[in-house]
Amino acid sequence: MSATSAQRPPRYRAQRPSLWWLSNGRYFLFMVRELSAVFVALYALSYLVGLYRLSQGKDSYEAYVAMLHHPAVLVFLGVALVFCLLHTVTWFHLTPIVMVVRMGRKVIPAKLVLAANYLVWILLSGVLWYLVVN
Amino acid sequence: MKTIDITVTRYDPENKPAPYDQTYTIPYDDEMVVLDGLNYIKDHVDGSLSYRWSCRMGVCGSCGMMVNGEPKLTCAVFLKDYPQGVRVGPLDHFPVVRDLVIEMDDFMDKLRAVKPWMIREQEKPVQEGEYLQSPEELQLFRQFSMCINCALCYAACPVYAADKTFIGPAAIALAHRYDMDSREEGQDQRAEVIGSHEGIWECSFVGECSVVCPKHVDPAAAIQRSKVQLTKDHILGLLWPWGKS
Amino acid sequence: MGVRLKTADPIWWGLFSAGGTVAAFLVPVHIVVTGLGIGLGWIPLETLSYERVGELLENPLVRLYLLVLISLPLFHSAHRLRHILLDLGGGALRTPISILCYGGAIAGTVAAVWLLV
Repeated sequence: MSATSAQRPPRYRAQRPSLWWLSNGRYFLFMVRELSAVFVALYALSYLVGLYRLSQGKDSYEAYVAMLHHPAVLVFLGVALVFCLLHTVTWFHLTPIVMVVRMGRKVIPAKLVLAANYLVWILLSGVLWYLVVN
Repeated sequence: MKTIDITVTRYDPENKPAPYDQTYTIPYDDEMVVLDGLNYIKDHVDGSLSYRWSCRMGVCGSCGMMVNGEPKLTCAVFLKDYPQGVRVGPLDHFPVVRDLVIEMDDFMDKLRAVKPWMIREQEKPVQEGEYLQSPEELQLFRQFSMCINCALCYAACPVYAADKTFIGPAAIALAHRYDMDSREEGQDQRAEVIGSHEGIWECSFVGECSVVCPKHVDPAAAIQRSKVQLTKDHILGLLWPWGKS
Repeated sequence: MGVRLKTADPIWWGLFSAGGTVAAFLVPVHIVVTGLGIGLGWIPLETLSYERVGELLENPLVRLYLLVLISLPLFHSAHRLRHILLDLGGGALRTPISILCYGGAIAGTVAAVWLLV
């Protein structure tokens, strides 16, 4: 008599603990990296609110911009900047893994792609700073 | 002789409904790997311990287990590196059959689903000779052909843990190995499998699959590169529906 | 080369990666130039004056730039937020979570279009 599934002893299926992302440092770093998206979203939303205030007239807009001096807002911006920089750095370092840049038959080394990312980033940031301040 | 504590997860479904730990204290020396420790237990202490192994040299891929919480080939980690003792359990995210033996049916089905073989629209006659390939063309997929199907990457994958329909790292790396081959013409057939919702898309690029791979395959790269390719193809198909099917 | 996949995933993933790239290159400098820098006094408040910003926004290229800067990172965040919620055990609520995250990004984009056009 062959063993049917009814007679087969049951398999054990473990449940994943909800704190699995604390079980090793790399999982934890992944979670922090993904969490940076929350701050990216909050910053995009702050621009939306700014545009809305602008549409409501001068007083409304200026009250919004004046909030930039509030310590709580500065703390939030500081934390947001740290997370967004983490996003920038992790994104740049993952790019050469995702994109294989080829020139003819040769593959461009990952380090070169990474360096190009940083170079373009610094240039873009400088240009934007210049445009906004002047 | 030095001794070490090896704590093994036991599962005996006929007699106990839940797994339990059992600790064995055995003599060891610096040359012994974790698998040697298990073999010592089986031969000298407790013959009822069940686990899979074969080659002892990192080629067969059958001795994958959780060693102190990390997926490892037990033939490739040394007991001397765990002086405090070592915990050995069955690979995470798989149904357990007995002790350290997991059920691999789902994994095998997924490997088969990606059509891991060369697909040609038309085979050329043997008289016309072999299909030539340059070293540069070989380099584009070579690392992805090194997989030994040990399933460590599935035990490391949080996405597979949450959703067993996810086709998973090794299967997609294998699909990528054929997709990137200059002699291959079956990319569209494979796109139907890996491009489906259960294919590449739920991967969140944790990258742990590539970290644990004992053969230095980079499944995470294979998955992201497939996403780039299929996203381009899909958008092109939307913009230019008159092109190739 | 075009293929037709029977899923919308490539669209969401395409928006996610485009948004991630925009956010990586542009969001840090924007936080400094229009936020921290002003709050800390490195940059004069007048750069963000009502008159100057209004004048800048008359340029359609600036409006298009802001639309991209707001919309694409929202899709990027929606995609990652959805994964965080699923990773933390929201698997049973897969569909509502997807609707909430991607719907939020779409709503933000509609709002940006409405405010900028």
